[in-house]
Amino acid sequence: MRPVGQANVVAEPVLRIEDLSVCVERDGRSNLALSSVSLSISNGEIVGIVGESGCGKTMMALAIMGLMAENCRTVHGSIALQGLEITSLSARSMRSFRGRRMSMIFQEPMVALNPLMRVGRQVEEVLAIHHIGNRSERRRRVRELFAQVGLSGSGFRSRQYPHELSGGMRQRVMIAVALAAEPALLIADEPTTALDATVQAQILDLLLDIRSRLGTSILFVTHDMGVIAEVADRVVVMYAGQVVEVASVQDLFARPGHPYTAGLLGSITAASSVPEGGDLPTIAGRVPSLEEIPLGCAFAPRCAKVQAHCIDNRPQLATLETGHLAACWFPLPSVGDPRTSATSHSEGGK
Amino acid sequence: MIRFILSRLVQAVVALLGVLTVVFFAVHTAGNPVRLLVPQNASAADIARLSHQLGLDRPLVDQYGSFLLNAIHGNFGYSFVQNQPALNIVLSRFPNTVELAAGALVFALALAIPIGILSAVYRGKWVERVLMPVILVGQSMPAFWSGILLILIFAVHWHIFPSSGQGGLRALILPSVTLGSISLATVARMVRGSFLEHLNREYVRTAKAKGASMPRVLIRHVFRNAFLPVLTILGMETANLLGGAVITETIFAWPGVGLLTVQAVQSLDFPVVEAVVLFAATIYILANLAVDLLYGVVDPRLRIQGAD
Ligand SMILES: Nc1ncnc2c1ncn2[C@@H]1O[C@H](COP(=O)(O)OP(=O)(O)OP(=O)(O)O)[C@@H](O)[C@H]1O
Ligand SMILES: [Mg+2]
Repeated sequence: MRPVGQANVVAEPVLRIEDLSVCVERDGRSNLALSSVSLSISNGEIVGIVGESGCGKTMMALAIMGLMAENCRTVHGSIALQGLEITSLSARSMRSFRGRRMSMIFQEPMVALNPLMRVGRQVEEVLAIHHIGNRSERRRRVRELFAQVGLSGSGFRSRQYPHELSGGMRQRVMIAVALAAEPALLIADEPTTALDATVQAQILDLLLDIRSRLGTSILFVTHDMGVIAEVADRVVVMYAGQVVEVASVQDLFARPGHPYTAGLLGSITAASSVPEGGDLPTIAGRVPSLEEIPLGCAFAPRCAKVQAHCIDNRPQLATLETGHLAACWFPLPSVGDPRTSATSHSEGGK
Repeated sequence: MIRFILSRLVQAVVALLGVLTVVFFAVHTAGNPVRLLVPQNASAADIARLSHQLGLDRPLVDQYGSFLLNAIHGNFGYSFVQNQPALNIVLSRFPNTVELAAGALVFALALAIPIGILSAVYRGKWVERVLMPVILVGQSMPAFWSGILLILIFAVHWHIFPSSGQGGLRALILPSVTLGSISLATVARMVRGSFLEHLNREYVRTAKAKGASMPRVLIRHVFRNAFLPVLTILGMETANLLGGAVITETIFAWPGVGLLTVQAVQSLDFPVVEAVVLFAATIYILANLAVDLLYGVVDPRLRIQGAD
């Protein structure tokens, strides 16, 4: 179905980001919003990006799509999509990739669709932009897509406008838009955050289903460790524009290496025991703004295990065990016997 | 839908009654037109007789009552100056005003929409720095100044266009530019503001994520959305223009409703003044009603359920 069927391409990850740094210009000063970020996604893999608000998750997603705001600029590093470097592409080639080879769904289904355009046409537009099929073929494909994302029946018509649909249905429309041209990579930026719990679970199931049926690789952005546990194969933990830990989802939950990851995990285990309406226990302090990011370990000011060495020296990602990396001078000891991970989505250390 | 239109009609009637009342008392306390109508050497008896003929000697409340009653029937009485029903005079001038208003609108929109869009898309770039002064000049030049300037340059100096009067497209151009440049500024600013806001909306990011080019994003997505608020302004501008452009019509001796207004006020021609004001108010209300209905056509969120 997709052009990448050949055996010799299998080893090539769908997306490989290496040493990516993005600079943000504001009030005449420029700061790094992403510094030396690396990550890769293999065919059919779901990689979760997790981190508190303001850690640069959306920035990373937009950098991949080439949709960053005008004041943001890639200053270093590479982004390769199916083996092709895209940071240096012309605007025109980049447009031909967007929606076709990679696509993105957003956090707010309420506002992400054009309120004045029928939803069927919003899906069909992707096909029209990329010159896929003739009119009647496109119509047929739109019906097929709506069925695929669970939108047929139940009073849904493709002639409806977004305001006539519920939040969950709109997100399904967005997913249909994103899948229309059968991209190899789907970036989902907090696709369920704005939805209530049952709808959230349905959408997550849909994404898992899409991955297993179409083999789409998914970059799943969230700040919710619970969601990560449900969908991700591998997890990239971000803090202050840096990757602080990478691991398979099992390893990460069983043996978090970075104190920040442990803190994020602590807040979900605690959340289940907090009465309704109570405050979630969080990691003390807050994410630094871009200007305030410390020179040493960015997490040092909030870290319970901080030592003098952390203040002035920035730790690099280092292998803790196969396929499990953390950027910490004093990674947490694994509890009990350090088994090797059973899963083998091994990307290996660098 | 029917209920919506009905309630708007009731509102319109109340508004028109208010306008009638205000204009009646404003006009009737402005002065005595009989002194302007009789010869200089007329006797007190002559004045009294004419006052009686015109019904101006009756108590004010009495006059008001019959004025309202007649006005509801579209009867504003005969003009004091021309021996014709006041409303007929107004209506006979209306086509000229429509012609000028259309000219002004075409001129204003043809420039305002591209200027507004370009200065939003190229915000902070040289394009915007060139276009913004155009808007500013249009907005800060009063019609009596820009009109006379245009006459001096294009009619007196270069003889390209006639300096006054009506007749053909050539005569329409200078007054249209004069009148339209005020709307041009208003509409361009509105278009620019609305486009700037909509370019940052999430649905625009979605469109870009589909791979849409900038022209496609603008035409297929932003234009309709961003044009909604402009529609309101446009309705008001149209109503203003159709109510008669007093200054522009005076400068160019354009025989429209605006010029008629000036003449009627100067000669204290009460029936004509009253008819003109009611006419302008009606146009205003109708234009706004038209805009409301148009909103329903453009924006599916406003369509009343079951209407489609
Ligand atoms: N266009 C911009 N100009 C200036 N600063 C920006 C811009 N976009 C993002 N930032 C800053 O970059 C940092 C990362 O933002 P980003 O939106 O990527 O966070 P996030 O991890 O997606 O958070 P959230 O969970 O709230 O979506 C934040 O400090 C934010 O204020
Ligand atoms: Mg975000």
